Amino acid sequence: MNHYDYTPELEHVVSEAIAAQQPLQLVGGDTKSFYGRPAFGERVSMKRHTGVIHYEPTELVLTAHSGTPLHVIETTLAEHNQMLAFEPPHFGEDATLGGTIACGLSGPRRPYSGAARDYVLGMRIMNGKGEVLRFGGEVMKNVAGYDVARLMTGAMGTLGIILDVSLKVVPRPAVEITLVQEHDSATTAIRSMNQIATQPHSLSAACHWQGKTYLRLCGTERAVMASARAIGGEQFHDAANFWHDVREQRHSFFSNTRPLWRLSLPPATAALDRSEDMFLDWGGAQRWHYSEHGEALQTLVALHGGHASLFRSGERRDEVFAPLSAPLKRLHMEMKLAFDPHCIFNQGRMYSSY
Amino acid sequence: MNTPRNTASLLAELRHQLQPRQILTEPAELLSYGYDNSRQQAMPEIVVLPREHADVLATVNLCNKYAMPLTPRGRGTGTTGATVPVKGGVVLSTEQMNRILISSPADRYVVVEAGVTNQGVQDAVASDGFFWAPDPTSAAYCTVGGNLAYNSAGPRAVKYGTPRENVLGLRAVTGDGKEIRTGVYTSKGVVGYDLTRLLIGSEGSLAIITEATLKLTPTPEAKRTLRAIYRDIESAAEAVSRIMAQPATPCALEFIDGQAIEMIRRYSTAELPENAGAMLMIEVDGSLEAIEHDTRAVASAAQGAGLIALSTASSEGESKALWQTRKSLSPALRNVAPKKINEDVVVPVSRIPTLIRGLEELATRFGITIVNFGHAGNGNIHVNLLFDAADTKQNTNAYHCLDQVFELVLKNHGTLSGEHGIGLVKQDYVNREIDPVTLDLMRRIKHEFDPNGILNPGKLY
Repeated sequence: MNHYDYTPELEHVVSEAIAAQQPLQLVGGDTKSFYGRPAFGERVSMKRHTGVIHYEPTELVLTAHSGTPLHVIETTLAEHNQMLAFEPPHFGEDATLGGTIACGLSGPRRPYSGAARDYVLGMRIMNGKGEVLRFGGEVMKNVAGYDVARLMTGAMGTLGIILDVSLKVVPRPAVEITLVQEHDSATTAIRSMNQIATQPHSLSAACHWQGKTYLRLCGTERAVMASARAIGGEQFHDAANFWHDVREQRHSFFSNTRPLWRLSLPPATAALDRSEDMFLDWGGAQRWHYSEHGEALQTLVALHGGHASLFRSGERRDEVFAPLSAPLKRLHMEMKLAFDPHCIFNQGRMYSSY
Repeated sequence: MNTPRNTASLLAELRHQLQPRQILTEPAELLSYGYDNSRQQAMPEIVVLPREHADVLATVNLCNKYAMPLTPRGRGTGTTGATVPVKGGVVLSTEQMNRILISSPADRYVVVEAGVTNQGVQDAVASDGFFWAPDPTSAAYCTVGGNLAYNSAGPRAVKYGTPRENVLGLRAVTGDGKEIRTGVYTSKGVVGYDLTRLLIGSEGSLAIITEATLKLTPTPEAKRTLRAIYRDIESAAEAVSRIMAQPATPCALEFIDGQAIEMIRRYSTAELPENAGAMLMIEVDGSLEAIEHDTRAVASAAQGAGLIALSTASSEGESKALWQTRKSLSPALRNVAPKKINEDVVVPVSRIPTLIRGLEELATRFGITIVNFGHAGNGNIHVNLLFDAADTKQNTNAYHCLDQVFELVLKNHGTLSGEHGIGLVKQDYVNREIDPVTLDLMRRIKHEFDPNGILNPGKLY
C-alpha cells in the first residue's frame, strides 16, 4: 500500500497561503462536495497524504494518514474480522478517512453504536499558522487536555487540516440479520422502532419506507435469534445490499434531484406532516425529506426539539445548516480564529460567516 | 472595564439576587467547600448554592463584574483538587440543583440538573428499564455535573463508553456569562462544532454545566461474573486482548496486580492461590437466552497460557463472593500506609505488562509500596503509591517516584489521566504529555470561553 507523509509540503503550502492571503479549500476524495456550503479558494488535495501508520488488531486501534482511502481502511480491518462501528457513508469510491472524519457523517448503525466522533481517539492536525498539533492518542480513555479531536470531527475542515486520525475499531458481529415488518403508517412504524429500541435487543439499524420497517440485529448468534423471536417479522435475505444502499443514498428514495433535507429529531417524535413521503432512518431520529420550503421545515423541526439541514441539492449559497444562537455563533467564530487566525481554511464551507 | 476584585460589593449584589440561604459566608460552613478527595484544601470567601440555571447565570455575571474567582463544584469526590478554590473567591456548589427535568423513555433520554447524583439518575430511570452508562465508584455520592467535568466513567465504560459517548446535549453558562445549549435533544448533535464533548472533561474551566441531556441504555436482562487468576501479568494482559477481540464484549473487565493480590491475602480472609500474579474480574451481560453462550465465549477467551484458576458464578450469591475478593482490596490498602497517591493512567493494553514491570522496579528503587488495579479492558490502570507522609524520606521518595511513574506511562504511549482529570495534582506534569503549541491552543480556547479567567483559576494548563 502507498505510504506518504505529506506534512512537510503542507507546511509550505500553508505558510505560502498565509503570506499571499490565499484561502485554501481542503479536499480529500472529493466525494462529499455536495454537502455543506460550496468551498472556494485554492484546492489542496490530501490524497497524497496516505497510508495506515499503525494498526494493532489486538489493541482495537488504527491510526492512518487522512488521505488514506476509506475502502483501504475497511479492507484492512475486515482482514482481521474488525470494522468501523459508525458505518460511515463513502458517497464515492475515493472517500478518504480525513473527509469522513471532517464531515462527521455516520451510517445506519449510528443510534445504536455511536457516531464517528465517538470513535476518534486522537488526531494530529495542522492549524492555520502551519503548526502541527496533537490531541488525544491511541489509548481508549484520555482526559489530559480538552477534547479537541472531537471538536475537529464534523468541523468540515474549517479549523485546520486533519493529518492523522486514531480510531477505535470493533470486532465484527458474529451474526447479522434483518427483519421486515409491515406498518401501514409512519406513526406505527415510529412507535414500533422505538419500542424495540427501549428493550435490550441487539438492534443495529432501523428504518422505514413505504409501509415496510427494516430492523437489523447483530451480535452473537443466540442473542440475535432470541431478539428476532421476540421482535418478529420476515427475514430479509438481501439485507447487506439494502443497508449499503441506505448508507450510500443509492436507495431509490434518494434518486430525486430536489433539495434533500435531513431532519434530526428525538427518535420517538410523532410523525410530522407528510411523513408518508419521508424516509425514516435511525429509528426515527433521522428523517429524509424533499422540500423547497427549508425555512418552514427548520421552524417545524425546531418546535419538536430537533433541527433540519439541507443535505443535498438546493440553493447552497445560503445557510444549509440550522442557525446557531448568538452566543454559539460568537463562540464558533472565536474557535475558528483560535485555530485559523488568518481564516485560510475552508472558509464558508460550514456557515457563511466563517 | 471590570471593577477590581471586590468581595463586599459582590456579596451585596449576590444577596440582592439570591435567597439568603443560598449564600454561605461563615468560616465553619466555608471550610467544607474548600477541599475534595485529593486532601488539598483552600478557603473560599463565599459559597453560592444555586437552585436553577438562572442563579448560575447571575453568579457568573457578578463574578465577572467583580473579577472574582469562581470554582464550580459537585459533591467534592474528585481526586485531583480540581474543585479546590486555590485563588479564594466563590465556590459554586450545584448540590441544590438536583431535579430531573425531563424524562423521555420513548426517546431514551433524560434531562437532569447538574447536581443530581449519578445514583439519582440510575434510580430515576431504572423503573423504565434503563441505566446511564457512566458508573464511577463514587456513584452514590458524586454528581452528574462532576462526572461530566472529569469525563468520569467506571468499569462499564469498556462496553458502554464514558460520559462523552453518553451525553446528547448540555445547557451551560460560559465563563463570560453567556448561556449556551450544545447538542440537541436527539440521538445526534452535529449543528456546528462539537462543544458538548469539548465541555465534557474540561474540569469547569470553560463553562459551568447546569443541565445535561443523558443518553439512556436499556438494562440487559442478565449478568454473569467470572474471576480468572493468572500466573503473571503478561498472561493476564494476553487474556485481556483475547477477550476484547471476540464479539461478546464484557461489561466489566477489571484487573488487579500481584502486589494487590498479596495485600488481599495478607489483610483479608479471601482465599487466593499462592502463585497468583494477576487477577481479572469479568462481567458479561446480555439476554437471558444468550447469556450462558456469551459467558462461555468469554471464558474460552480467558483461557490460555498462565491461567491458574477460572471461576464462573452461577448465582448472585456466588457473584458477590467473587467480587468480595476485589472489594476487600480498598480496606486492605488502608492498612498498609497512611498516605495514598492514586493515579489513573492509561496505556495500550499490550503495554500493561511493561507498565506493571516498570512500576515494580520503581517500587523497589524508591522503597515505596505500589499497588495497581483498574479497568484492564481499556488500559486504564489505577496506580496507588502507598507511604507514610510523616516520614520525610518516604514522602520525598514518593514524589520522585510519581515523577518516574509518569515518565514510564508516557514512554509507553499512555496518558496521565483516563478519568480523574488534571486538577491541581497533575498540573506540573501536563506539559510532558501535551506539547507547547497544543497547550497554547488550549489556552486560547479557554480565553474564548472565559476571557476574564474567572472560572476555576490556577488549574489545568
